[in-house]
Amino acid sequence: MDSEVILDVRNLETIYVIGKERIIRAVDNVSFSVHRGEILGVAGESGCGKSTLAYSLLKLVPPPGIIKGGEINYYGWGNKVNILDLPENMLQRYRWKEVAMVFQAAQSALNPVMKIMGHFLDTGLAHGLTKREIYERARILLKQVRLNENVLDMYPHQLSGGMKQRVIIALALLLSPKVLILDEPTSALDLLTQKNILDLIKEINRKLNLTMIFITHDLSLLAEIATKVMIMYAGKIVEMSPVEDIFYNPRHPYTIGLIKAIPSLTGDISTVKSIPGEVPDLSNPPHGCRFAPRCPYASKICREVEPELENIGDGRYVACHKWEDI
Amino acid sequence: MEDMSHAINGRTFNSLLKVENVSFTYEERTFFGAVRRVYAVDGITLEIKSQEVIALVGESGCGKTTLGKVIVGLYKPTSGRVLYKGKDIWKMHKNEWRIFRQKVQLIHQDPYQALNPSKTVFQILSTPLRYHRIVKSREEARKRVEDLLRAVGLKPEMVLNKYPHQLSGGMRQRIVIARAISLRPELIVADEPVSMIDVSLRIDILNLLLDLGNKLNTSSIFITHDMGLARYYARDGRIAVMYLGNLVEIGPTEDVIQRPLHPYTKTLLSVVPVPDPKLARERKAIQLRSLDVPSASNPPHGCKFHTRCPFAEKRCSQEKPKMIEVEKNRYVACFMVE
Repeated sequence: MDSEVILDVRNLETIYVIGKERIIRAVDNVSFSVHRGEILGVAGESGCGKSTLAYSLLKLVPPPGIIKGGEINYYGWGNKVNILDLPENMLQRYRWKEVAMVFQAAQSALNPVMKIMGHFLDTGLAHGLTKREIYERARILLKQVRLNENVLDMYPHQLSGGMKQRVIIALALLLSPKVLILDEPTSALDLLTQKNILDLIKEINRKLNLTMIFITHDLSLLAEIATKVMIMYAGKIVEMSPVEDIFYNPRHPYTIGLIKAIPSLTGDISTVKSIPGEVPDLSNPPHGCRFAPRCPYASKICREVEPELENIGDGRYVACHKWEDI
Repeated sequence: MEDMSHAINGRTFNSLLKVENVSFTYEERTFFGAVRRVYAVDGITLEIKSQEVIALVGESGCGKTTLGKVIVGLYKPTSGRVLYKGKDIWKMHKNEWRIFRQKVQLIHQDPYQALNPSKTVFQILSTPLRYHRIVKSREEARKRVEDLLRAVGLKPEMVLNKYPHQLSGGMRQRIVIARAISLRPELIVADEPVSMIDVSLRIDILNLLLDLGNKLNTSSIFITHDMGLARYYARDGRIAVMYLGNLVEIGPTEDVIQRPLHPYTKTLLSVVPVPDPKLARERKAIQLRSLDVPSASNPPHGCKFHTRCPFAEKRCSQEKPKMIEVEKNRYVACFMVE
């Protein structure tokens, strides 16, 4: 895990301003780094800020969202560049060429009256590739995602959901990005196709040594695909560790609760249980630790002082006052 | 399929509702105006005993929601019969029909759409009570509604006069459940009742449904695409697996999960994500011949799974396998298992 850092996020704050009084702190003072070649899995329940985090990394937060503070340092150009300081023309070079993204439910974003080749041309020409280059790259990429090259001559409706998702991944790879962000890339697919796409993503990661950020609400998927897992709760990172540690030795009470809340096919189902309480309102989060109202280990300090994300060694980070006692 | 009156996990049951060779097809107009027939449910027989719990599983588009709607009488089957206590529900008198609709309740997937946004919780819960004449006065209604709210773990004084938009998703689903149990049903069909609920709260809602079912002696059918949730919910019951409008396997839940017999069930279980990194990376998924799900408007001949099944032989593409009891209480529709 001591390989080179490619993205380093410091104290990132992304908020949504809804009316005069309401501010939703979707990503609140978040810091982490992503290393070259790893698959960072980001998991959390709906509304925890994981998608907002992804959009922030591209500086593409949809209104009324704004990035209020922090740094997103990118190291892919050799030296450190804070992309939040980049002018728009440089951002154009950063997006897609350096960091690309597969958006949630992107299959349905393909233009229904445009052949697949047209989609490759659109993306490529906008970023300065020639038609010839685009055609060559498209053929190579389709092979990489195990699609026949005649797909280029088809319309989206002629493809199955899994094939469309593979086209989307190929499109994201058109400009050879160094980092690929995947936001719920399998959520609209059936289980069999999901497995196939996961295998494909792993293969691309291995062959191209491509850095990936894989965002999902389904923690179990990350057991299969991630090398490192980040757990988010109410706009904060609560735990970030190598994948084995997250599943075999979780330290944060929320991670422990989340794993216990998912009935699996292999584990003992008699111990499955929900986490009591509900997710807090992000426009009015609780004092201290945001998980404290639902936490079985919470004491006075947890309700008063917000815990920092602490490095506890071996590449593991936990934001909990009590992690040593759990 | 006739002889399914065995004890399951040590309990015996009386027949409550039975769908008999039921199909539901409908016509769909394509973009270019052509009409095609969609076979959403295709010749299914399934019996639900009194106090039994069944998980109906399958992937999106397999027809499980349609079957649920046929069971509660929202859709009239194109062919076949739905028998409630031995009586064909589509030949019932007005009064019998009213009792049937009272005794068989559906819980929808989306608690955001299932509640009338312009009515308070009290109005939502008291209307069916008055319609079915379970209560006679407003005072009685109020008392019943308060009892119902307590039964689903809500504080009456906190929610009684609230509108749905003032409640969280979990609270709304509890209201939907309260409405379903308010008429003292004998069967609850719950269609993906927790898919819109936060992962950390799902088990609470399922436990609530199970506890209420036990207390009120209600049977339930839990429709889901999530095998883990199906295993949890129907741990004392049966699991029924659907593929493209057909049932392919039925059996006691843990038996099916640990030792699936139908190739489709086997494949499905081999790709369910497991929250265990070592296991997830070691295990081998069963490879299908094709990843593409055939269209329900043009399903394959013979066994509908044969175009993808790694074990398919010539016979599978010509003849449709019947549901056969291959072991005690275990029914499978596959020539390879016979």
